[in-house]
Amino acid sequence: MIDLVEQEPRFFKKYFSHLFQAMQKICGVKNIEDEGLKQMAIQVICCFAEREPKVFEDDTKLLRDYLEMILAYMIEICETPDEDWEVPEEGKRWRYLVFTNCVLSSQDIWKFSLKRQTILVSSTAAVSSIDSQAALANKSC
Amino acid sequence: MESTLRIMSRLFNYNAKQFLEHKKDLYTVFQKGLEHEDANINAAAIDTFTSWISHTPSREAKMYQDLIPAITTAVIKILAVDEYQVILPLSPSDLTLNIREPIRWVT
Repeated sequence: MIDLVEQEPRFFKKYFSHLFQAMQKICGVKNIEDEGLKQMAIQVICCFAEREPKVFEDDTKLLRDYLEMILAYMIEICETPDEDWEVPEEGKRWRYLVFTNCVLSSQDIWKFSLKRQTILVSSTAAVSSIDSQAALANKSC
Repeated sequence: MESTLRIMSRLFNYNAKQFLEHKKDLYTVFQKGLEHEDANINAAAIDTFTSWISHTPSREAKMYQDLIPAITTAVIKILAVDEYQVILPLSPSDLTLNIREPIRWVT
């Protein structure tokens, strides 16, 4: 699927919402045995975002949901952001691929087509959403 | 049906152009494969479908866009029953699973 999105991103444009929802569903699963699966789901969207940034530019909710997906996955990997996030330990590099691949490279590409302000606003909204979800979860505990 | 789909998937690597005459039949084959109750057949259909699209000119591939929702549904279904044992929160209307054995992934 990743290869196909990479090769033919336009093919998915019309029904991208279906693809996005499916990947969102995979990322939303709590007890997943194969951690790489979530990473692959994010990579599918990341590949598309790199090739068709306009779709995200036109739909800020989609952008927010995407950023939320990435941030939630990052927190799931390591709850406390530390130096490892920037310089991962040997052998743990794969865990941070999602950050470097999806967030940094995407923003690098997007800055030409998406206004930085849009990314900032969407990132803030995504963080707030994750924060309120965590607060809700803590309350129920 | 699973084996046929797997063989077809490999055949596209050699001469996909010959299959272009049968593009409408292929659409039906993919659709039936993706909607089949056996998840192994769904997996084979996705494999064949992705192979076909990657070997088909974009202009010709357009008619297969309608199958994307069926693909995403099949992906979720496969993950819910495969060797990873991913338990996805499927809504009752999503699918009815009737799987007797784990998915056999072809690598």
